[in-house]
Formats: sequence, C-alpha cells, structure tokens
Amino acid sequence: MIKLYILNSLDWHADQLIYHSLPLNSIEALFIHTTSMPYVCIGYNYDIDLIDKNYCKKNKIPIFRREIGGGCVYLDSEQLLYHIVLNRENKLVPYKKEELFKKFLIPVLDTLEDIGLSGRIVNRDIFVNGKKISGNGGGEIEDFIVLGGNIIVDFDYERCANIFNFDKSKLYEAMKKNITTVRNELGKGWNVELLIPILVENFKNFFCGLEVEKLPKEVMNIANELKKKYIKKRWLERKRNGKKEIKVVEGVVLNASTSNN
Amino acid sequence: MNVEGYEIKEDLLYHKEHTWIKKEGEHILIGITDFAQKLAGDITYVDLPSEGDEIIKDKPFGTIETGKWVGKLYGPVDGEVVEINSDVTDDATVINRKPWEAWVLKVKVKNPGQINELLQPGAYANVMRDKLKEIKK
Repeated sequence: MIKLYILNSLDWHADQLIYHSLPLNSIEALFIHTTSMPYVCIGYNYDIDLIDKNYCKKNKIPIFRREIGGGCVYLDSEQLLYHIVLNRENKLVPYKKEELFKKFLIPVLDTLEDIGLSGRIVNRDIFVNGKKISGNGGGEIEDFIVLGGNIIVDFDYERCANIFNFDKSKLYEAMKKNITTVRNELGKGWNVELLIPILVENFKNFFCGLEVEKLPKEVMNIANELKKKYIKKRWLERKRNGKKEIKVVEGVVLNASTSNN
Repeated sequence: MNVEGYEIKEDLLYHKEHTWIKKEGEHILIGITDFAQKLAGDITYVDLPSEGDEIIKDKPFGTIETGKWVGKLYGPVDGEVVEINSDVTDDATVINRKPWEAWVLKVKVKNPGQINELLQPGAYANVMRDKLKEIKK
C-alpha cells in the first residue's frame, strides 16, 4: 500500500528534499506537508536570473531549485503542499502526462469542492472563479514519478512580486488579478490545519487506502545527504539562459520589456 | 509505417524509451520519436549533456520539459557526445514540429555491438502498441 507521510512546519530544505529522497529509498508515498519558513522554489529549467537574489538575500528568503518541472513559486506556511511519489511502472501512473495531472489532481479538486469551491484544471494548475488557487509540476526522479503542488490558503502577493527581477508593481497587479486563495474565496476562518484532514481523506479514497506511517530515518538521512548537492551554487545557477519572461499563470506572461531592472 | 496516428520511420533504429537512432559511420544521431513527442505535448526545454560527456545505455542522459513536467531521455548505447544540435537547444519546439529532423545528440559509439541490440521499426511498433493499450485502459 502507498505510504502517507504528513509533516508540518518543516524547514525549507526538508520541505523539498524529503520528496527527492523517497525515490532513492524506493518508497511510493503521498507526502503532505507545510513549511515553517518562506522560501523560493524554482523549477528544474527555471532561469535564476529572473529572481531578485539581492532582495531574497536581504530578506533571508532562501532559493531552492527542484528536480521537477514548473516555474518559480514563493512558498510559506500558508500553503498546503502535496507530493505524490510513485514508481513509473505502477499501473496507476498514466503514460500520457496530460492524463497524469488530470488523474492525480482529482483529490485536490474534491477537497476544494468539499469546502465549497468549484475548481477546474487549466494547463495542469487548478483555477477557482477564473484565478489560480493551486499550482502543480512534476517529473521523474530515478525510476519514480513525482507530482507536486499546493493549495494556496493565503498569499503574500507583495512579497512574491518582490522576489522577481521585474517591474514589481506590474507583477503585483498581475498576481492580484490572476491568483486567488482559500481565504479570498471563503473568508479568514480557513487555515492550512483545517484543510489537511480533508485532503488526506480525499487522497485515501482516491488510492483506496493509504498507510499512515512515521517518516523512516533513512529517508531523512538521504535527504540530508542530498542537501549537499542542492545547496551548491552550481546546481542553483545551472540554468541562466532561459526566456526572459515570467508566467504569472497560464496565458498571463510578463516579458523583459516590462521590467524596470 | 503508421501505428494509430503515430509515425515510425522504416530506415531508423529505436530504443524502448522512445528515441530514434540513425547510423552515420562510427557515429549515431539520437532523436525523440513522433510517439514520444506527441504524448509529451509542447516541449519547452531540452537539457542535454555537453560535448565530450559520456552517455550510458539505458541510463538518463538528459531531460525534456513539457507543460511543467520534466521527463528523462535515455541513452540507447554507450558513447561519447561529439555534437549537440543547437537548433534544438535554442528552440525545443522544433522536436514537436519536425521530430525526424530534430536530432538532439551526435554520439561516437563506444561498443558497436550495442547497435544490434536496438529495436527494428517493427519491434518498436510493438512497444508503442503495448503503451497504447495501457493508455486506453
């Protein structure tokens, strides 16, 4: 049976490295988690030059480059994160990537529905009332597929706009217009802790059961080993020649000509 | 040859992880099959090794990114990279548009015997058919 690990208030390294470590331990799992501190997480092919590294340094916001795809996300404790890690030969894993996202995002859509929000998948993200509420990305680590994403409960639009090397006010406006949160939609009574059991229940139904377990020590040991690779400048700055544009959400792209940097 | 809308070139060899191989003397060109590019979707990035790097049979040598998914490219044989197709690294969408022309790597083959282990078009068609059966389930 697929394992379920629920871990809250992780430091930023553990938040990312645990799901990188699971394939190396040959563990199929659903990992539901939150971070204790804000950080920036960029996709495997994301151009680091799009990030305002001085702002991040000054404000003690670490930057992490993940092995899997997607753009740049600003993560903090107001987002509920999930990562599905399955062997790529597992019969549950659709070969066609479009289908893979559609299939594994069903429990996330169900969770939103359970709290009164009607979500729909738009290019592998989930939108509510025309705005993005959940971003998703994925890829292969060793012989495993990893699909990860978030449910945005609350969002610091200003801080997120500031982490980019672009016209920050334009970016702020674009984010306000195109990204929503659970609290924006349903009110301030909602928090990450309230969402966790609902998301867990929907994933349990989806997978016909999950084995709730304590994270094995070996997973943390390998995560700690991986840290050496992932904090290296060479890894973080591996991609520097990408497109000079920021995708706020699908279809909303700001390019270098709008930058004031 | 065409299998349910996916083209296979009769004059190429194939690897089970959906790359095509064209022999050019002691070198091979490696590309991504029509089947793989269609199922992957719009390719936004290709990440490849550098000239002089080694690739290993059945092991990942690079990645392609399609719609927020980073997938792996697997080496069809052991060899040394002698050239990278800059047309592909400059604009990865060329793989979607011209999968049979958009080779990604030119490789000097280390062990020519491994060429004989590659799939003939008919055998690759069977690999595709098996995958298509899984997709339809």
